[in-house]
Amino acid sequence: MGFLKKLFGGLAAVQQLPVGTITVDRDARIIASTVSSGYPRDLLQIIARDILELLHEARVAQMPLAEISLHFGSLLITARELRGGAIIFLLPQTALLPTPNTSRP
Amino acid sequence: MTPKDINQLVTQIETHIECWKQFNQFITLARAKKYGAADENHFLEIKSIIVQELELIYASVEVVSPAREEVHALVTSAPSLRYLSEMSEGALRGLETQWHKVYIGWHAILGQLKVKQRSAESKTFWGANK
Repeated sequence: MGFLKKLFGGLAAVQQLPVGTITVDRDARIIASTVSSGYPRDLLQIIARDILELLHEARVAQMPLAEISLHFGSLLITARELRGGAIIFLLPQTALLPTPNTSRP
Repeated sequence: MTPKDINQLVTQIETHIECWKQFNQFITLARAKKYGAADENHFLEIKSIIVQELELIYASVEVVSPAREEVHALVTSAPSLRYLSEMSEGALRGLETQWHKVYIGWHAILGQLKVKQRSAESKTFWGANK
């Protein structure tokens, strides 16, 4: 699966990682999103399509998945099936780490 | 409302209902005190999605029950999994009862829409509404 290639391939500019959640219907249409509206919608659409494809392939192989977690170096994608659609949680790995509290002299 | 609009709304409400199921699964996680930082984050996200989807649905169709206030009261009474895990069993049951009322309410709305969907389909079939 070429998530990173699709997300960043061919793009010269550095792209920030998406933070938030999207729900998509069975046609990969985004229903609701908590990802910043400044984040390119088409990139979210690519992620949604790939996730639905993955869930669909698992169903075809008669091994339906209720949840999938994809651990990239800096991004954790967790998706749960919702009646053909999906809820996709996008969490940069650093988001769960406590913010370092630097003490000032 | 065109048949296409109705179909889209049905799909939207079905997805919304699935989010409510997830909400209940988080209550179960909290009761068992088996959750991590990622679950806590997902719970917050689920609630945000529920509230957003709610407004999208209310903008498309008139919904008497569940009322917006009722849903907001339920969501705000569950600020975090940690909070839920520290609630008494009685309070958790109360929360589940509220959840169940809202959940069934959405199924009733979905059923009404499916009736409309069916009648729109039959009209299209007989050529009265294309």
